[in-house]
Amino acid sequence: MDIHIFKCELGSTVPEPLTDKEIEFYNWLASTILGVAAVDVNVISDSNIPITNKQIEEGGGAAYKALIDCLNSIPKLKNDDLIVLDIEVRKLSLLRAHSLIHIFSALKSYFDLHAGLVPGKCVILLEDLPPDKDLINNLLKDIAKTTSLFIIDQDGRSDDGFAIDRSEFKKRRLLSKRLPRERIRQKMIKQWGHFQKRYNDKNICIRNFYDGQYCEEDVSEYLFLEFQEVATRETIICYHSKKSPWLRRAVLALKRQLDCMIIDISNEDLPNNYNNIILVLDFIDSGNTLIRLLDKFDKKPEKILSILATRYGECNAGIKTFRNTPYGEVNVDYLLEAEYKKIGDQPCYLCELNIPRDELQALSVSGKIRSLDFWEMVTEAGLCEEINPPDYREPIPQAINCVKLLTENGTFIASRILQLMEQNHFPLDSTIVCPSGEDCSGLLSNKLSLLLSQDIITVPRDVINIYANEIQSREILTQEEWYIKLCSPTVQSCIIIDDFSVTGSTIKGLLSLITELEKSILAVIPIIDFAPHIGKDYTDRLYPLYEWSEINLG
Amino acid sequence: MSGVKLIWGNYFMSQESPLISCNSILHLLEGTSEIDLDLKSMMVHDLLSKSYLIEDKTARDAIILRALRYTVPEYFSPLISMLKDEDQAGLEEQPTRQKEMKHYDVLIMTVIPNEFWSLKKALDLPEDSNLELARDEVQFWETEIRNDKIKRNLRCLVSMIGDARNVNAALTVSTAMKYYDIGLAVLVGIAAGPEIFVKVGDVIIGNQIIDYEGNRIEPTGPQKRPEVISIDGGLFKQISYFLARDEIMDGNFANFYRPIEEELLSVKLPKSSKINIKRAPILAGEKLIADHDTLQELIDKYHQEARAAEMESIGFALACENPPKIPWLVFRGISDYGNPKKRNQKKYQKNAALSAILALIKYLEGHYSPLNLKEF
Repeated sequence: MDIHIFKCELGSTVPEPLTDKEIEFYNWLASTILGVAAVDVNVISDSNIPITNKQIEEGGGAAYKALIDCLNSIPKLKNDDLIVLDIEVRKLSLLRAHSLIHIFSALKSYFDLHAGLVPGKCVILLEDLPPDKDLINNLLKDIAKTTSLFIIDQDGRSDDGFAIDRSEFKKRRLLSKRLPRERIRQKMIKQWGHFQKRYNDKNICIRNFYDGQYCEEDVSEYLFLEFQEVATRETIICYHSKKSPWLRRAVLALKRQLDCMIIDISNEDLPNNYNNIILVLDFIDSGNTLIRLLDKFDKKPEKILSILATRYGECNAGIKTFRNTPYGEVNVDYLLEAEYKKIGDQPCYLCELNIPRDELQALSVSGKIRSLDFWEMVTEAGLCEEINPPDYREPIPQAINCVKLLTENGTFIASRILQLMEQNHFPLDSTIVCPSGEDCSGLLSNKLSLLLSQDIITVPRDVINIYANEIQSREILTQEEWYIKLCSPTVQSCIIIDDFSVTGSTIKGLLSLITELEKSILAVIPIIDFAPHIGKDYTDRLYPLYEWSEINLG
Repeated sequence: MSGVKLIWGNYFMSQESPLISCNSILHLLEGTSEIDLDLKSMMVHDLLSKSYLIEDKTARDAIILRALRYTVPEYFSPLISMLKDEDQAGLEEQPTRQKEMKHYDVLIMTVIPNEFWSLKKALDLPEDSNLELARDEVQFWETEIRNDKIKRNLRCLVSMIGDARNVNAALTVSTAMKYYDIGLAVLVGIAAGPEIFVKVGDVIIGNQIIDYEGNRIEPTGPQKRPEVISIDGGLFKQISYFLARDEIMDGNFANFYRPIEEELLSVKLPKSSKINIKRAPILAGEKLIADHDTLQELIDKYHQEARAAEMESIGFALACENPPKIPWLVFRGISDYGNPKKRNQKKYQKNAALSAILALIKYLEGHYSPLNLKEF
């Protein structure tokens, strides 16, 4: 059996090839629908179709045309083929319903024009099933007149009586992406700030706060994978997330996926009709809160899971053990280890420095990094010989150890870049361009791609150097993936992101390359620009994350 | 600063004040052991460059002096220490608004215990003040009010003058200004108001304070010399926008006030009335007005738009206008009509104070933005 896969990504600008894991998932889905073994399914074609917000705003005709073009490129469509149309909506995309109409119109037109060559089966994967009286639904009904149509939402629901193992579907779909556990690890932000916490009945100041606002969905998916087999109708999931709204939202998202009760144990009373308890915590340190919560239960929870845990007490391989609880020894599974730096009773040194206390809500609008946070991160990372200097000069013997700095704080820095972009109202369709490499550039672009849900193109260093040095005889490998992506007509406006700009040559190279390809450059965002005094023709678009100062005493 | 050219990026220091920035770097230099020499040099470079943006010359010089310790060869460092010692000696004699002055976004002051009780309840302050903050017999409380405009908590310093009269108000606010770096000072409490224009519980936000006591005694009789002092133009605009909100306009503020009154106070304002918040001149003098005519006569003589009379705000405002000048506001809840019924209306003092305090909180939460926002 032959299948043809089309993945439309609304709100994307760059055509990303499908991964092996994704193909494996579509293969499984096709074999389930066709009722054959997975080995008997052949993937004949797979395409990724980015549809930018600008295209959607301009009427969505581009979505129609892009899908028609892809469908027309199928070499020999047969009646017993299966078409898989997966429609993924980026977090930042606009006008979803509007673009869906264009996509389904394209599918309908294609089927209408190719009578006799219409595939026997077509499966459409959508985020949510369309409501009954929706225009989209009417379009889908028309398509269903010419082929057997299966519409499945992200949780495996289908409205036409087609029975698929929903849990299995959801599990396989989640596993076809990067594992949620890994995504949480990468996306959890260790915020630097001046926070207040109640500890032993007094207020103390703490320096870091773990913020999961960018991994809510991943936490929800992780919890689904963890609980889907243990949670039954008699299970109650109790969560405690007084300081972590992200956990509350992640747990509440489980409500529509798991057939069990979910309550906020800090505010709600336990009902009577449950058999087993699962307790979910945002953070666990000394266990005092846990013991207080356990007092509320009449039986020991079957499972206790905390997203974050400190190394305080007995702690080994993702399990923290507490011995003196109302139920004796209790084990708490945890995902991530957290550093919990108490900086003392008030007034702490941050109070003395007049640094106002932060709340996570306030942090979400402060884009630039303040001096204390920047230099404390740098002091912790230390100095080392410059990694990957341009080939025309020697490495700086004592430069900031940006690899260490970004390994420890990359997510924090990436989140600040995102805030800076939001504050300056850069369009959602901007494509981020940054240098590639195994070093800090790679670390930063990786964090950005995880966090920003925005398209990122990484350009090799040697290419950047060629453009920075204005070498006339350029031989660019036009078949390389980065080049194809950058040349894509959907890429129109770019934001250049660099890590530590010492002389500005990386930025200069990227500017020259992007300008040559006739794309516009909206902004240049280095983490720090050590040479603000060097004449630049992009000063009006320069937004360093930390403002290094330079005085000229001449 | 002649000969010095500053170069920086697009919008330097729109968020963090140079003083906080420099003190932060100094703190790391002084408090972190084993910083690599090259790293120290980078930090000092950044610090000294930023120091030129500090407006207060004394604070700037002190910072530069402290930073220089990290730039001279070790052999010469005693010279810097000598300079530092001299500089410190000078500074101790004359307190200035520099590093050791703790910053508060807002100073909130009430006058009498009934007002302070309402303030304490509304802000959920502890019974006892923070002893570490007490200065010259004046006690202070610390609290925070969430501000949606600048998306952070406002750090507030709270105190009570203790007794009526303008001199007391001036002395207390001067004490706060001497020891703390204040962003905005607000006097909040009760006042008498003309019965034909206001009712008990209404709130008057002073756009002008009129000192009606000034007179020159001439053979022909006293010649009026009123002192008039107006609030900052920026605050005036903020207050105007605040008053134009649906939740405030047409007495709608009552919807916010009533549930809190229900929770905190045993005496209630008449149920039917709406609660108006108005911007108007406030008459300030040394008279506790409780007769039939004086209040209306003062309004007729000094400002026909005046809607409140009390005994502290001119002292408070004049003290705030003294160097280091700080912006100020006066919020007054009408507790009586300045007539013989005053004694019977004393029971409404807590209500009137609460009304003014809640109006202030509403303003600070949703409409106040510091006039010269330099910090995070």
